[in-house]
Amino acid sequence: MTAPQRHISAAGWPFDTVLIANRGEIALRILKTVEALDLKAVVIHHAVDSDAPAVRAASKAIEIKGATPVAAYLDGPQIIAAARAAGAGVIHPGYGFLSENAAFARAVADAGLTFIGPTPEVIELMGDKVRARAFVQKHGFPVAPSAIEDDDPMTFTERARAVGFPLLIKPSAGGGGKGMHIVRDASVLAEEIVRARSEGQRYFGDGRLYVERYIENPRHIEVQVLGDAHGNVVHLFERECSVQRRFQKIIEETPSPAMSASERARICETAAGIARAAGYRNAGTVEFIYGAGEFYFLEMNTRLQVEHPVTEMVTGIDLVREQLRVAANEPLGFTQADIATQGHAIECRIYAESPARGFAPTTGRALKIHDGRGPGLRLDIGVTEGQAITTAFDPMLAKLIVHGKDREEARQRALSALQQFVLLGCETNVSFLHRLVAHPAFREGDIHTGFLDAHPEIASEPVSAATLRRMLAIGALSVRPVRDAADDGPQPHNAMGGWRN
Amino acid sequence: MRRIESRLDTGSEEFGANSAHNRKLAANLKARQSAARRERPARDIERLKRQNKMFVRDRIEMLLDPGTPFLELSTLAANQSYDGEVPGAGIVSGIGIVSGREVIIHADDASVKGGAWYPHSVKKIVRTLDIAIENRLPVVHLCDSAGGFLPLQADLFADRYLAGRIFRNQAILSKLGVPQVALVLGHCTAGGAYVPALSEYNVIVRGTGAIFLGGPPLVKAATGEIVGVEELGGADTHTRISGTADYPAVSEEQAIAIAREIVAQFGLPSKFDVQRTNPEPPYYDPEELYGLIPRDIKTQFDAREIIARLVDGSRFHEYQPAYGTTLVCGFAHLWGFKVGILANNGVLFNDSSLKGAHFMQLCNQHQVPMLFLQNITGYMVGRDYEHRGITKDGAKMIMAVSGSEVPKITVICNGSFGAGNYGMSGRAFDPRFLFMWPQSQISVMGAEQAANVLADIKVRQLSREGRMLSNDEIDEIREPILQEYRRQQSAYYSTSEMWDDGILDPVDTRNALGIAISAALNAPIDRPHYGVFRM
Amino acid sequence: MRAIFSIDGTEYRVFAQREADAYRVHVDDCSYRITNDHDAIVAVDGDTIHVWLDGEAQTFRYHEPVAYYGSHADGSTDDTILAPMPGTVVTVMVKAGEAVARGDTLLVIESMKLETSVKAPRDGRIDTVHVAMGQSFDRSAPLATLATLATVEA
Repeated sequence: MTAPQRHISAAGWPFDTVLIANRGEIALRILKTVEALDLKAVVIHHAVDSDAPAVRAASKAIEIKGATPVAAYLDGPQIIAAARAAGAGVIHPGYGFLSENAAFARAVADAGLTFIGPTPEVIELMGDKVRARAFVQKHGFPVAPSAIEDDDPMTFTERARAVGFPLLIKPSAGGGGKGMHIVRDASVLAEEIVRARSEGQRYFGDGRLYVERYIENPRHIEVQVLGDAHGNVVHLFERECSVQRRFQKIIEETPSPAMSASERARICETAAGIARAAGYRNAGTVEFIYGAGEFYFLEMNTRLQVEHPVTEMVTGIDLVREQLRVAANEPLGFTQADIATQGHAIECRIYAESPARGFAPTTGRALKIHDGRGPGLRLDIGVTEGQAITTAFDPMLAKLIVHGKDREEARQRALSALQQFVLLGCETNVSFLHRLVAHPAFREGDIHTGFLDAHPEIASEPVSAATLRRMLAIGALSVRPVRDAADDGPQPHNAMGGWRN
Repeated sequence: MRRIESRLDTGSEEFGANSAHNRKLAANLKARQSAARRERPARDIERLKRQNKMFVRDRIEMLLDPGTPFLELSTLAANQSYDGEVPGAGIVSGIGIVSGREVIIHADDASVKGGAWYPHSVKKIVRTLDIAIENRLPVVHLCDSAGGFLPLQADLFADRYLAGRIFRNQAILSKLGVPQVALVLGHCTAGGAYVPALSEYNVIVRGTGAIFLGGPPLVKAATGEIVGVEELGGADTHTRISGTADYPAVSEEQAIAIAREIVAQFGLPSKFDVQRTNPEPPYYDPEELYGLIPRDIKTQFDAREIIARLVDGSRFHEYQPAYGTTLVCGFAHLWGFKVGILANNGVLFNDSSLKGAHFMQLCNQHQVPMLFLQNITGYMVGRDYEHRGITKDGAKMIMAVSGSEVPKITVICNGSFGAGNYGMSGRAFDPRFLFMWPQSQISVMGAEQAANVLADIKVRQLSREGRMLSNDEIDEIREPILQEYRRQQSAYYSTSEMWDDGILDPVDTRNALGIAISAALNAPIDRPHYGVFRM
Repeated sequence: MRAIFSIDGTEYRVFAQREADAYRVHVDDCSYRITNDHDAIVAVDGDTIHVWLDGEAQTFRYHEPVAYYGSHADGSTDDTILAPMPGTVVTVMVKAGEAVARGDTLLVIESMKLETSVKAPRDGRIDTVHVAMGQSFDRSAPLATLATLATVEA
């Protein structure tokens, strides 16, 4: 815990201005580190985000345009032009949007700027699930049984059936859970393949698929890695992200409550080995499925991960700072031996969604936000009061991260922070997160990716009728006709109440 | 003001017996009211359902502000007329709060004879509108009447205070600047059509509401024209074409919601500025009134014991406590409103009459509303009293009560006999409101006294014909006279005839008076001026 | 007349009374004493009332009475198909005037990662399609309206 904490000076780096090509909480998160390094931050934003906290906080904000807000954030040439105009030497893509877009990474390099990420070739390798898998397999790391459409499209369905059920269909070009389907029964395989292909085509412009053996109730374990341009690669231990809904993570923590020290060492070394084999530069994450003592390579994300704060909380290493350092061509400031973890960290993702209605996204306006206070609490939030919450973007609003000396302390702190967190104006999953973290099985660390399917009551548990009525009683007093009737009614009549003779 | 020191022994046998007796009377009142309000032949209830109409009580409950009181008036009107088949005279009337404003409601009860207006119905509506005029109360009319009950048209149509008076009163209200809203919830035919037409605002329900001078059958009979209800006088006809109605509504519920919006637009009344304090419940429990009121009307009791169970904190500032002691006079607050109280404590003598007239002048001079608590057998008779001018002293009271400018409210707590009724602000003296307690009686003289007089006349007439009657025969003549007299002097007869504004359970009196005084203060109060007092 | 509130289709009848140092708020048959120092947080946005209390957040809707009693009298709201969640229109399968059978797919909507088919709740004829391909909508937005059965027969 010594070396990583030392002060880093950005003096002498080949850039003094960083363009942040993202939005929401991650834009603000990156901005904080950029400013802490005495670098200048430029934030791009679409008009719908002009009130966003990162835009307000940035010393310079540049509006970008697009047919849709998302299109604007995906418009590479416009973003590169903005970086040039602002004198930015480096572009931090955050996560999502252009963060794993090799063409963009190339265009940035061609423009004489630095893209924060690995080389375009590594992005392409890891972005193609099929190739990535083959690469990992070739280097002797474990992968799950699978069938790849491209190998022989004519026999794909047949080969898929041979993988065995249950199996998982994935778009070759996909990521983040989009277009994934679990198939448990051979009879619907063909039908599901057609649907997955259509979704892949629509989401990624690429209908190619692959299937792999689906491990029931597996755990999702991932390892944070960090590499520099000088061939140094370290891992920053694992994160467990098993609690998911529709393949999207809800709660992440580190260390995993499931792994023994030797398993941990093995999986972390595997991840670092894969990164090393790929000549990996930048922060990245190697994801595994883990069950019954075995783990298989799932995919590698060549960017900063949403859940990176839990790693930061236990290691004390600012991952964005390390990304910038690597982008500045500096060697890593520490070796594997310098990295140690302390305590336990849990992240809860606060989404604009309705757990009781199948996690359907919700919309509204953030009318009031009260973040809780407490020891070991970090809140990465991307909305401010008054901001509209629309379906234009991902429904994640904030991340509530807690650190404690052990898992139970962290869990208690999470419960307390969730209990205090207020966001009014749009339905969120906060009370659901509270129920989830309070659940006995979660408390015991007995979690897997099917956890929420196994415990549907966590999502649907309604507020008690009495609590609901009490909440309505309070809320009704803020409605003018109700309040005025109580305040302005004549006396002595109001004092008599509903008297009848 | 000092708290009255009650001398009532609430542990006594007498108190217990009175209490049991009067509670039974109160329960009987509630039972009769409940029947008048809710008990209807099944076919009438079914008809309303078929017509998709709400019951009148539900309409009123929906109209009123929730959690506010409703003082229903003349709940048992017509209870002794029309063989008891027209409960409440087919009309619901009362004072309540709508959109934060005091209003008086006139509602036709279509579950009673299709809402047909009987003579007593007309009397009740006229009285309702008289109250509106005297107290400047906005009116909400819930119209659902088949029109006048034709077999009795002679008793409801032509005279000064009959049906025409309803519309005259509506016009006067408008002239006084007192707004009215009418909800057309059924057919408003003939005279009934003028109720919405004369209201400054009206709402008509599409499908069930209609307004026309003559309905389709009458039109066909008169001119041969064949026309349907909607086209002749439905919601769209009147809100789009004729301008007779103002707001169309798709349902009764929406009509009521619109009416509430309309009332919310009314200006808040500026009440006459009488002394007001923070209300305080009586120190003595009003339930003790049951143990106070004697079982026999001839038993004397202290009027202060009633006052102690009506007024704020049971506090009373008694005026002239040592003079004319058969009339208790003084000031108190009731639901915070300052009132001057005159309460009988025995026969009115010369001094008590003078005290009463004097105290009324005092209340007028200082613009304090007056509350009369009647328990009066009359003015004292006899040579000495006549020589001292009991008649002219009684006349002074009548002159004072008639000429008073301040609002008067009368409660007949027990007996109300003879000229005492006049001096103590009986119905003829325009108290803003007059209520009775269940056991109270009202007549020109006591029942036995009257029966004896009437029996004597009969006996003398027969003896002129040479017939001598045994005591038993005399009793046979006397008994039916006594029975009929008793019926006609009962509170139930009075209220059936609407000589009052309703019978109150004694424990409800305080709230009823609070609402009544509050309503009364909507009208301005003139400076005092009177006729000539015979001195 | 009590104020009408709803949450997820459940209605509540409410009124409040002023007491010396609190309000007494009646919700259906229950009543609650609410003082000014309650721990709840309330945010109002038009007729939408958001309340947070002890870690729970709920959203209530206030129904303006004239409109409420007006719309309920018609009773034909079932004929308009409302969006089950906010999203974007992927495909519109029908156009106005077209006859549809119960269960026919009228349009496909996408909400984040899910494609959902919006189906006809009954036989009928399309009166109006309220959205176009690519259009975004909020929850409960009208998507399509079926002509009333009477109109179809005529």
